[in-house]
Amino acid sequence: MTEPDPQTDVPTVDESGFPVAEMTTSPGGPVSDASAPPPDAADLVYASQWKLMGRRFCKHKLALVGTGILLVFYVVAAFCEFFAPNDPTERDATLILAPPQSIRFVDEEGKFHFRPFVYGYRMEVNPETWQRVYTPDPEKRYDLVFFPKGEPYRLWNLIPMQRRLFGSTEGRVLLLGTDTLGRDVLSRIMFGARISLTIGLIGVVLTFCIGITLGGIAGYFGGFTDHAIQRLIEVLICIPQLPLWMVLSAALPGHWSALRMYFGITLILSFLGWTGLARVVRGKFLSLRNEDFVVAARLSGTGEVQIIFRHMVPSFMSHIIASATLAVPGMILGETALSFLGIGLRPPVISWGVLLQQAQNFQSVAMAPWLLYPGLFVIIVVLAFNVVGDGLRDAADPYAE
Amino acid sequence: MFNYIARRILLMIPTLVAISMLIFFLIQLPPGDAITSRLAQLQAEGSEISEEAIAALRARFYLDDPVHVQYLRWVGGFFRGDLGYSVVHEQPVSTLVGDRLGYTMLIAVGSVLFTWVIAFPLGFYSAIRQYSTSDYVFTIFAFLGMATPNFLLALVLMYLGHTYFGISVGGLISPEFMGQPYSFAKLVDLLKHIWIPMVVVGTAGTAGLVRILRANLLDELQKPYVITARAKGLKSLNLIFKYPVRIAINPFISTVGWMLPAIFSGDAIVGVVLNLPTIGPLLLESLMTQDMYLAGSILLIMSALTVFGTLVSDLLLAAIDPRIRYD
Amino acid sequence: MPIQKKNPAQKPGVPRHRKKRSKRHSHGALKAVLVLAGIFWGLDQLFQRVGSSPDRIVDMQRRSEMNPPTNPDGSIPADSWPAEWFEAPRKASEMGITAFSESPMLAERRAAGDLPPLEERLCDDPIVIHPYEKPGRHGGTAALENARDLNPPEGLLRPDPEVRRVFPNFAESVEVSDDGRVYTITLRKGLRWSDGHPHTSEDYRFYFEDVYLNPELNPAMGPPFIGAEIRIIDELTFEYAWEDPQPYFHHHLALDSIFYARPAHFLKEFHAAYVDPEELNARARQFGFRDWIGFFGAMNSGRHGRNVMNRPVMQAFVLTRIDLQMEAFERNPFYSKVDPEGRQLPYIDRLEVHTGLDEEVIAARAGTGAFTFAASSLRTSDIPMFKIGESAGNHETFIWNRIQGADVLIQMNFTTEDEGLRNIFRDLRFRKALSLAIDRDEINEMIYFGRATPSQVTVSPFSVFFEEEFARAYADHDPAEAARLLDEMGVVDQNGDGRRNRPDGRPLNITLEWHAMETPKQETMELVTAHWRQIGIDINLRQVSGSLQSARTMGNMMDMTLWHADRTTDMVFPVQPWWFVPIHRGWESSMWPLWAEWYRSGGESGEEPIPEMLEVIGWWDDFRTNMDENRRIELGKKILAAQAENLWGIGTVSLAPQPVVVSTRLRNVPTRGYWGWDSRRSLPYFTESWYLREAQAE
Repeated sequence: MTEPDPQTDVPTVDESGFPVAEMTTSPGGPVSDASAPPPDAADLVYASQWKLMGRRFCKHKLALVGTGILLVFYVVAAFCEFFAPNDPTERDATLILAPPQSIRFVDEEGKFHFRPFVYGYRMEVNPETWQRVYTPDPEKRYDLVFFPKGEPYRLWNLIPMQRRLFGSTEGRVLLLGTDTLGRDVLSRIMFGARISLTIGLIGVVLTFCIGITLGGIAGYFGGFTDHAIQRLIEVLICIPQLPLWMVLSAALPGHWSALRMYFGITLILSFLGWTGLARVVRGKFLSLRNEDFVVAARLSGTGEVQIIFRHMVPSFMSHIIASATLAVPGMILGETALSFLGIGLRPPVISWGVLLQQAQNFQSVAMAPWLLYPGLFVIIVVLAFNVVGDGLRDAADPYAE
Repeated sequence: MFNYIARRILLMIPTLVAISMLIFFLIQLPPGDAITSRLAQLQAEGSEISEEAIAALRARFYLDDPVHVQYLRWVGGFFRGDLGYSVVHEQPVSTLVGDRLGYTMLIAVGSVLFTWVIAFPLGFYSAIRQYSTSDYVFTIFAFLGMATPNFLLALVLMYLGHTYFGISVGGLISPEFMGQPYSFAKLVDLLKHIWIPMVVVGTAGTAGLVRILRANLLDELQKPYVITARAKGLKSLNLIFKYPVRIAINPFISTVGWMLPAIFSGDAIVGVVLNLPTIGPLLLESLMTQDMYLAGSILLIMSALTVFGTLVSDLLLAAIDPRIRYD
Repeated sequence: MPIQKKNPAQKPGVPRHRKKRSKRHSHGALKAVLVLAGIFWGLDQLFQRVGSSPDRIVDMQRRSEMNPPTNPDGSIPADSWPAEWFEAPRKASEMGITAFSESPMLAERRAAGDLPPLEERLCDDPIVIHPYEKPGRHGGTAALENARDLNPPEGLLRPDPEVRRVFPNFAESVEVSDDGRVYTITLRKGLRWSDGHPHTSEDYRFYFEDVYLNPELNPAMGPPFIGAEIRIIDELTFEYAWEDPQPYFHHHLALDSIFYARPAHFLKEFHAAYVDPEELNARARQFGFRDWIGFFGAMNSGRHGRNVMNRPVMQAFVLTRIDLQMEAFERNPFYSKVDPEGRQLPYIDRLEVHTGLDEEVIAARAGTGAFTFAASSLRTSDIPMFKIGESAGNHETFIWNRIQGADVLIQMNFTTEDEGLRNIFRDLRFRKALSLAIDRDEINEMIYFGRATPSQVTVSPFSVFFEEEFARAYADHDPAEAARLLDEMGVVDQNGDGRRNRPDGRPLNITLEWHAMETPKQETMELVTAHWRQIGIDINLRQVSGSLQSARTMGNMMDMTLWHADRTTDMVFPVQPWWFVPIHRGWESSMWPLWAEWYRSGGESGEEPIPEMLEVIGWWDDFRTNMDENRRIELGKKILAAQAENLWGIGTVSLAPQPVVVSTRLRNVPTRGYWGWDSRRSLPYFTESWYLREAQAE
């Protein structure tokens, strides 16, 4: 960290020293300078803080990796029709509970192929156990290619397309095996990502709105309002989260359509989540309320609303965003938990929770463990969100190096 | 001090009243009511039901009273030790919840202990060896524990426990010990089973605690008094244990309060996966059969315990940490 | 409060460390990718091994075959069971048995003075049960997942293994008057409840007059007793009498009569007609009940085959303990049946029922041989797991058949409020199209390992009412014809979204609400909805709780729903032809809530059925009161032919394979049988004669 920031034109934070830059750029810091920042400095303050934050975030390599992973996941979720090698609803009676296919370069005869391929399966039913046994069939060699032409489909139910990212023109590629109806687990995970990942995001946006509004009201106005909202938060925090979610989702009408159910669950997940955020916001408001720059704004006749949104909110927005990021994994886990219990989303909707619910039995752990793959993806995403959230929080913390 | 305690206890009352009102509102939400469930049950036995019979059933369970009367009756019962009445089971809720609550609390206490036992050394070590390989490894494990869905961990542990340790699948006691009087062997059997829910419920909270402990300890270690002590040549470990740890450990006590809701949440899902005789599965069952009074009572019990837990941990904290002001 | 920083802000460490850290992290992205790839590769290797696990079943002496002989129509050959099971049981005197023996467990209790001698406990001339293999031995404890599996709800009569005919059980005889209006029942002399109190006509009177006719206790009047009265002749003889002839009342006596007798001497103490209501209510409150009704209900409850501890019963086992995870039963010392060598039945001393477990855990435990007998909660899809688990040598998996005429029955509501939908449902072409669009072979292959029988819903193939054409009606897969039929009736895709619209142009939105129970409904519907999507019919699936299904049926709010078509045997079809005649609405059937209401109210409320259905109702009214058996068979076939023609309901497959996991120690269990509501699961297969080999007398 040696390159000076050209825009803010302030000395870089010294490794050991006190962050001098913070004192003038971040109103959230321990401002000791009595003179109020000039009114036209607001923009500069605003921009520089984000810049600073971004730079600090970039130093956090783990968080960058997490960001990368999340980006990949969200891109796949957004274009899952294109990325999924198979139609997630395509069934096959001869490929029920087939294990994942290995990607190979060397064929049965030991010959190396530059183009990777998979072997199709030959199914036999064991007459003794009725178990379907799959053996790779060297006769069925499916070369893996990029952009193969397959069954026509519609991206976002709108754009007719025929090519997918990868796959084979000769047969179905099942990299993560199949489920009880012979459907491709990988494709289902990709489609499930669309539901599971967006539920977290939409939920957090809702949480964000409620949290900022109520927290802001409490913190800014104080007094009775503050007291009432504080008590409300206390009440909500005392009710165990999952049981409360369970009660709420049991209250959703059973005959709701898939889309309404989806929004219902999202609403439920944000029903409790806002409390934490509201507390943070309230704390920030309380500490900022008597800061010099706020007092100055008030004295110069700025309206309350403008003070809040022009001066106060931007000053701790970064912090809030970090908190919000850390709230996403809870929502994703919440959706999986509810669906797993059978009171969240339900088939034919594909979400990670629904996929896991279908794999919740002992049989699948023992005989078809690949059905638990959605769980692995949940772990990866939750980890990534935590790492990114941590990175953001560190970056937003003016005390950080 | 006395004033502080009195005020805290007094503050509990409005909180509990508000919680009970909220819960009562929630259990009124689902379509249909307990009678619908009872009807379904009678049908399962092959009978048909007349309109008068339904009206009579409704009257018996006071379902035609105004809502506020129903609420007062429900809440009033709690003061008399009457936790309500399950229409589907035709049994008092206290009978249904009784033993299950005991097991839930056992798992809760076990999980808290597990969390402490794991989190303290991890957090402590991570703090004094900041950025070392072990710090990273511990952090990763703590993160993994947080990221793994409870039910998945429970399912996998149940499978591993069964395959490699021969633990019977599900439940807290092996079938051969069920109904036997308590003995050492039965206790061992119970311990063989109960570690899975304890670990599963505990891991979720461990990550948070490790990180808080680590951060607090790091904060303390930077304080001038530590540096001064160090400069004066005090032995490192002694020094750390004497002051910074004592302060950094505060979250361990304050967590007791906020860990309870997390544990109830964990129990709700782990109990379902592992078929534990705890209140979580009972809650799910009551929701499935729309036995909403049972569900509401369970939720209220959980919340009340949480409120109580928070109170205890606050008081403990106040007793231990002299810096807390009582006003 | 002290300032506690919740955010573990990373404090600057020693520079040396930090440099190291940033270096380490410069390859972070690469590492993450490598780690992920490694995880997937490792799992892949692991799963490859699991998926192709070879046949590991050890060779052991098997009783059953995986692919047992089956009749062409999917039914079980009648010689799968002893010929004696198709006859009335013989009595000890007829068999020349004079000496009886008892379980050592009871001998001990008798020696301790707890019990009278065996001869006084047995009835005067006990019946002899013919065992499936050979006479067994006393003793042992059976671990179960459901008490009723070994303690079925036996009553006055008992059905045969094919659930077609009835034979005496607790009744010495049941006489029907020629006009079918009076049933005279004679109880065996000397029968006793499990507490030793005599079992007499009074117990039947008590149930009928004090429980059944008490509107507070019994809000629901079941059909068999509507308009009936009970007449007590003497201690052992009583009559049920009706205004109308009742050709089939003995079927109820075979399946439901466990409920018709209540231990009066025990229950009167809790009944307001026999003790002071004030006092009783006070006592009820003491136990946490609201009033005596709940209290009595709890003491009387026979719900789900569960009992109150130590309440006198007539069944083979008495509930003696309830724990959180277990219910324990002990043999009924007064059970009045013996084996051909004079041993008092049942053979087994104790039952331990694992309670509070869900299907998944039950399946897992069954697969590891934890149960002596398990079937109630086992799923067809888990059969390979049970078979593979046999390698431990603890259990065997028998394949029984589910007795359902359709494992999943698709029902549409002919009286739905939505007029457009109602007209579509009532159009025969629509129902034909839906049925023809279903690929029953695929369902059979994917869900039932190809071992069920693809069929339209109708009665069981071994029923006297069965005709092959009933089972074949519109059961072939013909999506082209289905599409043609829909086009013809004007249900076509008008806006090009791939989904058909109603004739009036509105989207054809149909919601199918279903409750998960017993048969693989979810898997089946995933396939059926896919089949229907192929012909442009896109329906919404909603899983609902049983109570919601019930409530929405009662409120006539369902479009479509599912049930399993049980009640298709000769025993139950003639009394509850619910899928074929609109006489019932409830969670099982929401095909016609308003028609059923119309029928039950005698035309006062509800809605008059369509003419085709009125004709069916006419046949039914004749059928249920006609004493001429040939005429009844004719009428029954007419009712079923009307179903085959009109497709009131749509079936998928029948006689599905049902896994029955049996401990290798448990003997005398038939390797084949019909499992389901009609047979009350194990009721016809003489569970009291099942025994544990090499059982240690505990």
